[in-house]
Amino acid sequence: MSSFVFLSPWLLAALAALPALWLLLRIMPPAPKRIMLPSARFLEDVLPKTKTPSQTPWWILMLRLVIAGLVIFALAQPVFNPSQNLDKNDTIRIVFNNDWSSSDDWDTKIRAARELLAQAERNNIQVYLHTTSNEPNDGKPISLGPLSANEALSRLNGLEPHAWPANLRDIDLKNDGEHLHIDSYYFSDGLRARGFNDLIDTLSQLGSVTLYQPKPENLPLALRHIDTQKGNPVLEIIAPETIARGLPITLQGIGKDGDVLGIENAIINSTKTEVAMRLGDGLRNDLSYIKITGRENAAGIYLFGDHFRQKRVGIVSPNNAEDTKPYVEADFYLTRALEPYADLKADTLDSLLNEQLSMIIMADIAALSPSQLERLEAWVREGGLLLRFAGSVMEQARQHFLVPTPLRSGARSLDGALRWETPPKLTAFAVNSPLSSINIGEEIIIKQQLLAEPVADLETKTWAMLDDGTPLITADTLDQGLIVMVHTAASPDWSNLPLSGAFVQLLSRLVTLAGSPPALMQASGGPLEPILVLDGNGRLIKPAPYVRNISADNLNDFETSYQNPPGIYGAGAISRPFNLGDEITSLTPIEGGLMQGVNLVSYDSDYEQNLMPVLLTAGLILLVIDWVIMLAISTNFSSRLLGRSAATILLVFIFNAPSYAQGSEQYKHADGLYIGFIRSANTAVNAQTRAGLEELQKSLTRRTSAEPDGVVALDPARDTLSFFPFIYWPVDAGDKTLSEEALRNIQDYLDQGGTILFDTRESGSLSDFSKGGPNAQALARVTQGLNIPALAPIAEDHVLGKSFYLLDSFPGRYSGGTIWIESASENGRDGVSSVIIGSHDWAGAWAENAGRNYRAGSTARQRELAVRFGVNMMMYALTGNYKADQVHVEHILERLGQ
Amino acid sequence: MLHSLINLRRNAHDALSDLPALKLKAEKVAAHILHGGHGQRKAGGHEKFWQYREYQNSDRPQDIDWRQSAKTDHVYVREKEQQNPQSFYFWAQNDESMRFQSNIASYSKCEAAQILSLALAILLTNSDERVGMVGQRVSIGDQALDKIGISLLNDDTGALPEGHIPAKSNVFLCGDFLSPIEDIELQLNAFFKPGVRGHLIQILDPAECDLPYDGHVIFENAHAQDSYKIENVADIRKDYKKRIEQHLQDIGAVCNRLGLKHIVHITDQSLESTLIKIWEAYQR
Repeated sequence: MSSFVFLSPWLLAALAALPALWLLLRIMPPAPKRIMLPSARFLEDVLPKTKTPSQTPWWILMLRLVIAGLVIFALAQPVFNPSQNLDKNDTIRIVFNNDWSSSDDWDTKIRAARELLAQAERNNIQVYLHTTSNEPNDGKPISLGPLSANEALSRLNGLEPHAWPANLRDIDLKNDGEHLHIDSYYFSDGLRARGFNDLIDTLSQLGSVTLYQPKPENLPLALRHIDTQKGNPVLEIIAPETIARGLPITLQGIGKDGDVLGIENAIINSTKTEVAMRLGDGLRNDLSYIKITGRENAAGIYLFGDHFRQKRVGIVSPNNAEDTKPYVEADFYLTRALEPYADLKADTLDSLLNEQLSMIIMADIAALSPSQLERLEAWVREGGLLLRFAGSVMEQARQHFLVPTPLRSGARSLDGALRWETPPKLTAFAVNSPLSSINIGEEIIIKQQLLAEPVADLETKTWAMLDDGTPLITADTLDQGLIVMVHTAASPDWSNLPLSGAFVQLLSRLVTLAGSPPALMQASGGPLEPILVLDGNGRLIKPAPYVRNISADNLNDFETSYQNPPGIYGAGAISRPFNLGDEITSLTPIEGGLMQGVNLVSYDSDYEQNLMPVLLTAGLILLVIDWVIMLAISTNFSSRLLGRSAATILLVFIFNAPSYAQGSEQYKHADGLYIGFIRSANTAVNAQTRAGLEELQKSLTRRTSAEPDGVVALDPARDTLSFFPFIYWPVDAGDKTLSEEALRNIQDYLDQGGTILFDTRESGSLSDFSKGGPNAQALARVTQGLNIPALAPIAEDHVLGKSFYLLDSFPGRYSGGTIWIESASENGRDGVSSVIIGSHDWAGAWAENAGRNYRAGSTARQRELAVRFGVNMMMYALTGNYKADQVHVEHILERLGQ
Repeated sequence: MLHSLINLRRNAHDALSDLPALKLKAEKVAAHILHGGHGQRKAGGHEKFWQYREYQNSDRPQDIDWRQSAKTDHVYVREKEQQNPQSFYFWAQNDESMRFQSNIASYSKCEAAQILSLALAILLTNSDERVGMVGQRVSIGDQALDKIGISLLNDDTGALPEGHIPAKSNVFLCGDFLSPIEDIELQLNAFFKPGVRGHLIQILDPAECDLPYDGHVIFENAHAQDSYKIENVADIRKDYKKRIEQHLQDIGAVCNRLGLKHIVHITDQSLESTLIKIWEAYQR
């Protein structure tokens, strides 16, 4: 079946030029330079032992000819496995599936068909083109032909997936008897659509049939909502039997604004997989649809619309919820029944009216204050659903407000000791009521009820009637709102209704009605108009003009079609989703039971393969090999050089390794925390500073989590300063002005976030640099060329005094001097001053602490304070000003107070 | 015939017009060596005063310096320095090979040979020595220099001539001496009779020493007779250098055996320093 075709065979004529190339290549290597040298005679003695032939060896020539040949072959565009061998046909038939499942991997399918058409084009073959889904304009699948391959290609490019199921029965094969033998190519989705077998039968009578189907992991899936558990939707993923086992999929719950509310992963291992989508409580109401990620077709998206939204329901209860007595009070039954379906709130009426509720339940409440009544009525008029239950309190009320129908006062006891009739039962809900689909399983016996006055329109207001004809549930609209009255109690005192399953269904149904305008509730509901429909690619779009309304009559046996694609339909403010997934109970794969002569192939399996890139790559590799050989020859077969060139090639091909050869010693400082100090010309100062900083390093390691790895002497002109968070600069009178290089280096360091502590190591104040001692003058000299921001004496509450220890002075070997810091630190430095200038000879004090150079006058306390300053300084440089936050102020104050 | 005659004339003319330039260069080089008589540092029969010595019976009375003797009680004889003029022969190789100048050399080998020879001749003439080319007669004074200059410029000599060199003369041979060491030894053996002092000044181009070329090169010798194809010069450079050094050592050994002074000059060095070296070698 595999074959080989050149798309540009005329380029192969270039092969004839290869002998010419042979001659050209023989003049390799390029002519050498001729140089006259009187002492050339001596070269004879040193000529290399292995003489390279003056002509390129034949095998190199061969190699090059192969390269040239490869390039020529590549340019001739060889195609391996050209999609089909169509030579023997003069007409073919393409059936291209474009139903809901086709949008998965649409491009792959189109490409497969396109390649077939390209082949047809090459062989001048005519094409019949059919689609499988009804087109909206004429209600039939597309049937075209015979077309030229080019025409068919442009029609193919114009196809798009539809959101409804395929209808293979309506395909017009245009079998005019002229072409007795037509091979068919069916680009399927891997499923048996309606009429599949008949179609294949017909097609195979006409000629061979090639069936393209997706690979097992790409077979279509359908999604549907089957249950709700604890408020979370439970979805079922329906897969064809031949689906790849262990296929991982991801479900995403998408909110109204398109944000992802929840993600669930699942593994497909059978034809039906259940997944519960966990959603946060607050998010449930936002859920708009759930989709299978990557399979956003009409069945891979399950729309929820309004009906999944959790309504907020208030239960008017005079007492706190905790006080409700279980199994006795109405509140208990209501709460238990509604919990899964609604966001419940039990409170007094006044506070409930302050909430945004869609439904309020009043169980056995008769008397309301006029203001409450007024507010409640206004709330109902705005669209609220008021559900009332009868009870002993209502029984005694003389007047009833906000009821659907006037009530008689006094209850009717149907199960007294003196009654000989059996109590009436509830057998069914009114057929034209919204409750009609509720299934009453067991008998519901009503022992006591409130009776309605027999008014004229009582019949239409009745949603449920006892078998003796008395209404049990009545409802009436009030402007936008709805009042539903259950004529018995919500507690088991009057009936066993609260104990029955029908009670839960009744309440949940009522909850779904809450917030809806009354139009739907009325028996003769109008048609639902399309609001948003899914297109073939699973996008919610505005409905096209051909989308029809769904009449209320066939709401329950609704079927998606080209006239009613899945989507959200509604009337007025209410909306209801119609999902394709709900119609799909199983997906039947094509595989298995196919008749003979039907050739089943997979998309992607034997695609025609353009060999050009492969050939060009091979040529390139050979070229590199040739280069290496030439390199080896010209360098006299030195294996060292060969290795080197191979390494070069590797480097070129794999990565451009940056070279760290230079300054690797310095880069080590980037790996850890090092304290730097600027090397002075005075070696004594250097030694002391190093000793001091090493002592500080020890103290830091011992006392804090900052554990420096070492102390490094730095030359600002040569060394990279950027590895050091903090640099100590002991200024000496002998310091020279800095070189250009050093200045730039230091300035960069300061500008990019570094901190330098200048220490003039002089007793006395540093209030004026120019009047200071010789070291201060040296400092002025040294920093002449630096841009140092404005400095100010350190503030009393500066973070340097509390970054680790709480300090109010910063003594070194000398105490009392002023520390100067930046008056306003720039943004981005976290408030850390780039320059700190002091005169206290801290390093000296630290070194003394290490037991060196004890001097009279420095007490142990002072030395300890100096170390603490060092610790603070390091913390300041490392952590910035976070200690300046008010977060710690209380604690710090407390400790300061002690 | 006529044509070649005219050519010859023109070449001679060119050589003559080149002579002053050559002399100027040689003088400049020679100026680095102290001028003055070329005394033998022993008593002799020449013009210059050597020493006063007490009269001995063997002395001629007319040699007595009466003025000096009058100053003291002794009778002094005024001795003059012995100055016996010697003969100096020059030979400078002048062929295709010597005219080679690589791009890193400051001048051609040939030029170096001419300037060095003439500068030596100038120095020697100053010391009243007799100078001349090998195969010609030696003479003194400027005329001798001119003769040498013209010969240096005009004569195309490749191999060492088999001229007769009288005993006790000095010979300066300038050339690149790149022929096989056996040939050189043979020639030198034939050339140097016992009693002839000789200086072999080997002039080389830096390119000949260091082979500063790269890549694929075909080297040809001066007469384009032989060619040597080198795929990558860098590979053999080290070996070549060793080889040329070996050759220099061989020549040095031959010179040693024949009692010749061997001086190497590379044409990217200054001529003055080499001249001083030669002069010192000669003085010793």
